[in-house]
Amino acid sequence: MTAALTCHNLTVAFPLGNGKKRVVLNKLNATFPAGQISIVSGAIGAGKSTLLNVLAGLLRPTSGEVRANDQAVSRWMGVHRDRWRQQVGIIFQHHHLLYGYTVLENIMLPLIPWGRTLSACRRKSIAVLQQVDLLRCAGDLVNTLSGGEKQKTTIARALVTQPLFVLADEPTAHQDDESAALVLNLLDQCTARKAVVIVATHETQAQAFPGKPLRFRLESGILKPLAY
Amino acid sequence: MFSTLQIWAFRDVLRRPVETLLLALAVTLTIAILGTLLLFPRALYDTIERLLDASPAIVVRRVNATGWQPLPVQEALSAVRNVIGVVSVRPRIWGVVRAPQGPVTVMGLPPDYLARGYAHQTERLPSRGQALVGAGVLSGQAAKTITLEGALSRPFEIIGRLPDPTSVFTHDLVLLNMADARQLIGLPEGYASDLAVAVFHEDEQSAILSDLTTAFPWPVQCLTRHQSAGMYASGLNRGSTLSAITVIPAVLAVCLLVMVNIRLTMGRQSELGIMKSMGWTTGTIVRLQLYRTLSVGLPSAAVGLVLALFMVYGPGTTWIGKVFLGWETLPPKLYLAPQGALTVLLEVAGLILVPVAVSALGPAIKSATTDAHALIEGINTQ
Repeated sequence: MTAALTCHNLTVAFPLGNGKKRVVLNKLNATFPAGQISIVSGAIGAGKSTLLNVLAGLLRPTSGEVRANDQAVSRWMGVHRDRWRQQVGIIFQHHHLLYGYTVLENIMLPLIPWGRTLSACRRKSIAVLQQVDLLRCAGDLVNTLSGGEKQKTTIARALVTQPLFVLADEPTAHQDDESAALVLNLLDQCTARKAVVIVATHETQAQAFPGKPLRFRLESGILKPLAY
Repeated sequence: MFSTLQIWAFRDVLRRPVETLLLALAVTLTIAILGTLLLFPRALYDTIERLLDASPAIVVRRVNATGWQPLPVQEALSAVRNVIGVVSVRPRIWGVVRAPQGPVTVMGLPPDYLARGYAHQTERLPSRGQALVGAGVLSGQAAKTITLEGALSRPFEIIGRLPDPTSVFTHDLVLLNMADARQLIGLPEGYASDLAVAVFHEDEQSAILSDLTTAFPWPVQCLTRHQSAGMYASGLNRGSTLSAITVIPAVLAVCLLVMVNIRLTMGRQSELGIMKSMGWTTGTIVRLQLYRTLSVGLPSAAVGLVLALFMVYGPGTTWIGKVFLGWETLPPKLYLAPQGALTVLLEVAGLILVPVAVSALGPAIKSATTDAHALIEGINTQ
């Protein structure tokens, strides 16, 4: 079976506190296939990050469901979703790194629950650090890094487990052209091993992606496919 | 030897050296203080119980309106041997005389007798002109002789000290040869200070009291081992009450420790959220928290317990006896009853370690029911 992430009538609404709700995603239906980059663009506040959070199982939808490999993961109990998340690599927009830890330790973090030895975790993390050209910072505390280096650390942390699902929220926002190309290349490599890659980004940055990725535009809570 | 998670937890603890040091100090001191306060009364009771076990089941003294009187040995022996339940009777010779540092209790020992349980701790018994002295009789002096003043005054060669574990009872005691003691006290030949009665069964102590009292042709006062234990226990109640009162601040300290630990762990909710987003299950996070707590708590508890043991059983530790029982002289050496002490120490460790561990695990368990996104963003988790 080919890996795929699908949304069925996915709705996310946040209470506003005055009895009303703000509907961010409105009965959204979409399929994100494996082996191809899917780009979700939209204006600020359109709900791109919310969509990624729901797809990653970090947030429960108000209604509807997310299916991974034809299994309704959004309906699973927390303990099963936590375990399923071991197959997901999340690149956060705001990094969400552990301060007080080194770059290497942050990248090792997703590998610890897998039960591998510490040296195996270290070897794997160093290999990914090389890929993102951040090996020189391996022993540095993350709070000493620049914005771009922090983002690269987040990317390395997301990819270290070679996940089946890669969810990236504006992965090139803090990168220069050279680094952005490196990041896009890494995401492209993920598609080569048949991973589902979903990237939330702005329209202008979406143009930089190589090949012919699937394009969606999130507007008024609805995801519309875009043609080339 | 250690799993990856355990090593990770240990490294985690080292990442926050100040926080870890403060937590370790707090746990160590709380366990040491609480352990000392709870262990001290227990150690006293254990010591007294053990020493009383080696004492006579019943002590019979002749009394009249003016106080106690020497009793004629032959008459007393023939009277007491008719009482059913009595196994053996031993006349004892003892009294109070003056020593250089104050009054001491002198006891005469038959040549072949020493209280059971302690015979192996004394190399030899005193012959004529010799004495075995308690720890407080010549405190701080390495004298080879002691001059005692009673019915007569004479020096005695000190041939040894009474064993430390008996010092609760033998602190001011001088053991002499039977004939020397009799002369020093001024007790006529054929008379004894009291009778030590052994009974067949422990429960018979009180059962035969009325028969024993009426068996003698003169008024007597009988004191059972149970009654002696009660007298000592009431004397120690002051210490126990003070201990109980001082436990209150220690318990408050535990509460404070738990609250601080909860706040510290709650402050790491976003960290837990990030871990969950990386595929850490609640079980793994709980285990990590447990390892973190134990890697600080267990060594701290061990040090705290050793400190408590030293404060109670350590040589020369005087302040506890001074504070709780008003002892001004050398502190007695307390008997360590392994089972009793272990129970107290486990109680203390549990009393402190369990709440501290639970306070660390609580927020991790709570995170199981919260979305990772809410934990990361700190929404409704505090």
